[in-house]
Amino acid sequence: MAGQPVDVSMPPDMAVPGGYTIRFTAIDPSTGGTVAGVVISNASIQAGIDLGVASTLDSGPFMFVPGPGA
Amino acid sequence: MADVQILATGVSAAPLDYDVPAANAITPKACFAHYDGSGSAGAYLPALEIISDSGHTVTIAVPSSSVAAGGTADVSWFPWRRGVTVQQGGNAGPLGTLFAWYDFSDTSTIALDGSGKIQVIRDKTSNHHDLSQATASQRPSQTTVNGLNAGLFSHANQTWLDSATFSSVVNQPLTIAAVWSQTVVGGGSYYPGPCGRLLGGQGCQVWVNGPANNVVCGANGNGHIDTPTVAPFSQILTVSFHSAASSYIRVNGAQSLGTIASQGINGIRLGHTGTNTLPAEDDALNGVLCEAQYYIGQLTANQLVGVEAQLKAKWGTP
Repeated sequence: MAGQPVDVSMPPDMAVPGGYTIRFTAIDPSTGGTVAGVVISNASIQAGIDLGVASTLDSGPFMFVPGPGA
Repeated sequence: MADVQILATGVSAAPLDYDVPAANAITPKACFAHYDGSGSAGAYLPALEIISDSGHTVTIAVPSSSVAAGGTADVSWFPWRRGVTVQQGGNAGPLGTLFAWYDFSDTSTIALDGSGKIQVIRDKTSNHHDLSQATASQRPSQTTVNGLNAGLFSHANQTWLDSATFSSVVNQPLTIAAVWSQTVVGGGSYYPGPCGRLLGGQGCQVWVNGPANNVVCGANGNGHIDTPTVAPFSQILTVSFHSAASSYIRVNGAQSLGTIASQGINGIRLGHTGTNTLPAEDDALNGVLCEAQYYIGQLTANQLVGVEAQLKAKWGTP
């Protein structure tokens, strides 16, 4: 079921080094803690990458899909 | 640089982590996720968080309004848009309209002198309200908080950082959000960093009433709001200066409402208030400043909790 559309800005040109984590989460606006019972699906990250060996990019529950030029 | 799409292959309870492989670095251009909150009892802010390899939150992006309890959302993140001009000009920050922003964790904004002291910290907005200290002995040094770089200010050395006078006054309402810690030394009242410079009076100020162990905000020497007793002084502070009765001061989300005088600011001084009318209170901060954000206007309720949630997650405050 489609949800309400929500647009969020994020820092531009933000290089995320290897070893870092990109986390999708749900924050309690009162406490700053994680809200229980929220489920996430269809998560995707469109990114630029300096390719090493493509097969090393799989990480956790995510899979890597090469785009143009990859 | 090639383009890639990194897809989650299933359904996960929040939080859902993507660990960037050690051999690679990526630059996110857009992110998306479907949030199903039908099993949640409370409202939530969909958030995208970048966490360093040492476990520290580098940045977090959340919307300006929360999703109601039980609600679902299709959330898109994209690089922020600049160029929004309101009143004195400013940038559209992620949660409000910033007119100045000092982030001591971003060492790319800090210029050190030959002794490792902070000579300049640059304003992260495009308004160029950079702060500096010309006297070497009065420059703050650096320390770390939650693994992040922070400014260390000394009462004994009377350290502070000053802007040039603004080309136009920033009038109320205005809001300051800051993270700082403070040690009350000496006697009388001592001032934390976020404050305004003089403008025909005392500007908009925030200070700690040492004997009473509370935090106080005021403007032009007329009217002020006191928090209850707060100790130790290691807090997220949010202050809204508004000549109407909706002014407030918040420490770690606990809010005190009141009315203060109408007074704008024509500059920013971190680490010192400097009042000619109350020389006994003309003093310097003894403590640590992590970050200070200056917003035009009052934040909405959701922006407010979002700002405080960002700062709390980033700096590991109580």
